Amino acid sequence: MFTFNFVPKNIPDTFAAVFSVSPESIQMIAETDRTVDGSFEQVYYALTDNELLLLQGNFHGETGFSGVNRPNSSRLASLLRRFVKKKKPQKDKPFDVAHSERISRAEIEAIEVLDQACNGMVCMRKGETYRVLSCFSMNKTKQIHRFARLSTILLSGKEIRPEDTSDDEYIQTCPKCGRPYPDQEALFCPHCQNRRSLWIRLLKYLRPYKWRYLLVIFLMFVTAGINLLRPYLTGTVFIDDVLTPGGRYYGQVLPLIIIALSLGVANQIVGNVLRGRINARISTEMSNDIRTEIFNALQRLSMTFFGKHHTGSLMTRVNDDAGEIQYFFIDALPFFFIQFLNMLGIAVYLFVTNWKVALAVMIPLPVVLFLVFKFFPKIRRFYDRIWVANSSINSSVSDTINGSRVIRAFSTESGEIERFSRKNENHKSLSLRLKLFQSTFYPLFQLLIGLSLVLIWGFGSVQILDGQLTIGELSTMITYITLVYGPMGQLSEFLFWWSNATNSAQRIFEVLDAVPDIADAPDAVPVEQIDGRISIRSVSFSYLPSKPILTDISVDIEPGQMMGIVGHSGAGKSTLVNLVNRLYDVKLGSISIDGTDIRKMKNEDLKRFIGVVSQETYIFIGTVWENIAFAKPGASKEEIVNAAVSAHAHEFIMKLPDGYDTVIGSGIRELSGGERQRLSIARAILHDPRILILDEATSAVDTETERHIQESLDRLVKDRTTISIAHRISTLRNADFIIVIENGRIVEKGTHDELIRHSDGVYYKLHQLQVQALAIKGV
Amino acid sequence: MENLIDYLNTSDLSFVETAGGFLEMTYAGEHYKRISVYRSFPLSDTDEFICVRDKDNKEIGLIRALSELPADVAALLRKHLDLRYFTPKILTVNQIREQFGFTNWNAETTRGHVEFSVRNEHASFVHLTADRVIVVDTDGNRYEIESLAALPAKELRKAVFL
Repeated sequence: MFTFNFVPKNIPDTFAAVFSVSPESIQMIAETDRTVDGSFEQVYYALTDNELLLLQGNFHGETGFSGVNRPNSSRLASLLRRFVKKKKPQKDKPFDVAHSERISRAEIEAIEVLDQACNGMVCMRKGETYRVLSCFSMNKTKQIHRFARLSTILLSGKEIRPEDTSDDEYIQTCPKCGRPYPDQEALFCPHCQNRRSLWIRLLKYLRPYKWRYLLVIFLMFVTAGINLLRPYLTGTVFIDDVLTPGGRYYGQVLPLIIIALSLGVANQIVGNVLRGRINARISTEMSNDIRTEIFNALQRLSMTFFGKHHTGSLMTRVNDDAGEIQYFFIDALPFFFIQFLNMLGIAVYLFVTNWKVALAVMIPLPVVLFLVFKFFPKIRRFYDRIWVANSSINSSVSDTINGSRVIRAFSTESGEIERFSRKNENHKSLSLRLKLFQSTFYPLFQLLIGLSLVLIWGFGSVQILDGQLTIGELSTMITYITLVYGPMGQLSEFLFWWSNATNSAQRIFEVLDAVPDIADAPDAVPVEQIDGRISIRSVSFSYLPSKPILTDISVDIEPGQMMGIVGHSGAGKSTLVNLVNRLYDVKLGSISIDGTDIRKMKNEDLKRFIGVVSQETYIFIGTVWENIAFAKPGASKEEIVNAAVSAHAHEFIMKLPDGYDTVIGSGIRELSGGERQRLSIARAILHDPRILILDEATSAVDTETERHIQESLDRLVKDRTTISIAHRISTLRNADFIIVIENGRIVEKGTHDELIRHSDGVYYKLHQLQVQALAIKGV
Repeated sequence: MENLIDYLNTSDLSFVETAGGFLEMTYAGEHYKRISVYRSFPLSDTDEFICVRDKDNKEIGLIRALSELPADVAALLRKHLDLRYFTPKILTVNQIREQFGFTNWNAETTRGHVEFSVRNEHASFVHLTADRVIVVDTDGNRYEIESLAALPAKELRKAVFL
């Protein structure tokens, strides 16, 4: 039986019981979560040997929609669960059937999926008669498409072959809660990730520095000790033993001052200078380690990952998140540690010296702790929201600067000003509320701390009068109290740092754990040389399961041949070459070069054999020759100049102020579209690939430049297997054959002369359109 | 400027729902099977500029406003439109919990109880007006908040990007 992810174990039995069929006769079970009229209710499908069975209902006691982990436990419950070692395996709740239906397989030809704007429908079809069976929310999209495809194979009487399930639409689920991962590339479950395991993983970054870090911790002990000793010396010892007649060291002021001074010096040198220097080393090295690891991981990942994440957020990961973790380990954790030791020592001293005063000091503590943990997080959230408001202002500023030309052209300045002032207003009101809150909160907080000092004075004085306490001891206590309460506010910041570092760690691991979907197969074979025979066999591909881009494409290109691809924009032309170039992997079918499936080739080899000149040419910041040599690291200057000459790029390069040494790139010296394209051709010439892909290589240039480029391209394609996507059909005259793609399928195939003869064909029409367009230009 | 929009003449228009739950349309003497209806402005203007497409997803024409149709026909189209642009309205938020760059929402909607997680980023919240927001969860499902002011501010504050 074929079940899809997350179908509870009792569902097959429920089917068996309701319809009196044997569970063995069920071939496939799938789940949707909304009914025909769109309401939230589970609908299960079971395909048996001769029927399609439908069950609609809810699990006992559960209604509505759950996109998160069930059951929704309270914070307390989840805390408690952490302490209970073994979690009881959750029993599947019984399924309350509200509606059931059996449909004979004879009535169904196919199961189809209709994608709606932000949900979808499952339908059955017989001839031209359609019927909606249920709806589903976006979480189910992948599974349902797979169910529709596979069940239709079964319905047509065929067997499911292994290659039918070879597509990677299999949904990875979290082993703990069984829910599909929200991001299939990251394999990170936000519902189950527990902080502890995250931190254990983070500790790994400290491992190379463990001895130095232990030394730091030891130095912290020293600092904490000195911190505690000094008030004792200046209070109890100085007042009671040195200044009080009859004291143990009466009159020995100078030695005491020397001792106090040397402690202070020792504290600064050992505690702060030495520790600071060691810390500085560890922290820079550590964040360097993390940054390098993230950067390496990013290079390893495939295009799909970059399609899903914003450049900005990825840059944050490399820069800020690494810093956040370093900050936590190097600054926050030691700070917390020292404060903790201080408090412990002080509490011991207070209780040993005079427990009554110690108790009195503790009176405001619960209130202080309450305030610290209740209100400081609130302040932190305020800062978060202000940060968001601020970044929104920033983006609107950068938007209007980048779009200044358009804004002036339509004279919409006043609208922009209004939009900006609305955002500004939001920022202002948030900042104001924060400032107002802080102006009330901080003084009251200080007042509370002042109160504990008053308490200690009061109780202390009474104890002194009773002869239970000395003046020196009281003085020591007062200093201690300020030591404890002073950093109390920052202590709550520790929680903030902790959660910040946790979030950063999570984001970092999301990148590190991402599985590149284009990876060398374990049995990948190194290929030394190829002839360049490409064969594309029944290839289907989609970026999203709901939107097929290519359907059943099959074509062979012989070594040295040139194949042209023509079609409307969005027809799937670029996608096809991206598959050959293995920027993405085919979902169904295969692409092979000289008989070897490209998925079985080492990626490095493949990229060596294939060169691309595309409509978008990225210029890295660097000199012209570095940019050309990008295609062949270590190329000689002569090779580079030669490539530039053959690409007709030499001329414009020589007009640049520093010739080949001119630094180009975004924001430094921008090249025109035609110039970039010629650089890209030079790159390809230098690369000298067996297979050449031209993806609208002459799209960005004027007719005159195009002629030049065409010349260099003609030189380039000689003796290479070439796939050329052209928006100007005229450039494909030399192609050995041309395929026309429409809606992801090959609709026509042949040479230019053959295709042009079919006056009702797509190619003919496209050709006519372009001839007319050129004629208009000519007028 | 000349109006080039292909409006359907609503007086010459009739719809029927099939047993299978699909719409069929008769217009200007022609019968179209399995048509679908789309909103041109699914967020900002749900009842105007309704696009009718045939079974091959080719546009037949636009209906200027549902109000031009008899009430029962408008209701039928609205039912199909609401299925396509399924967006429960959030009536109240029971709880929002922050967790690792996500917020987990527990809310009551016009379609019942829902629980979903939302990524902490700008793209998760589409502000239609200062008070009206579309929330997009990690899977791409949408929920509408008609009025932020009507929901518990204490919970909403936890979603900092809102």
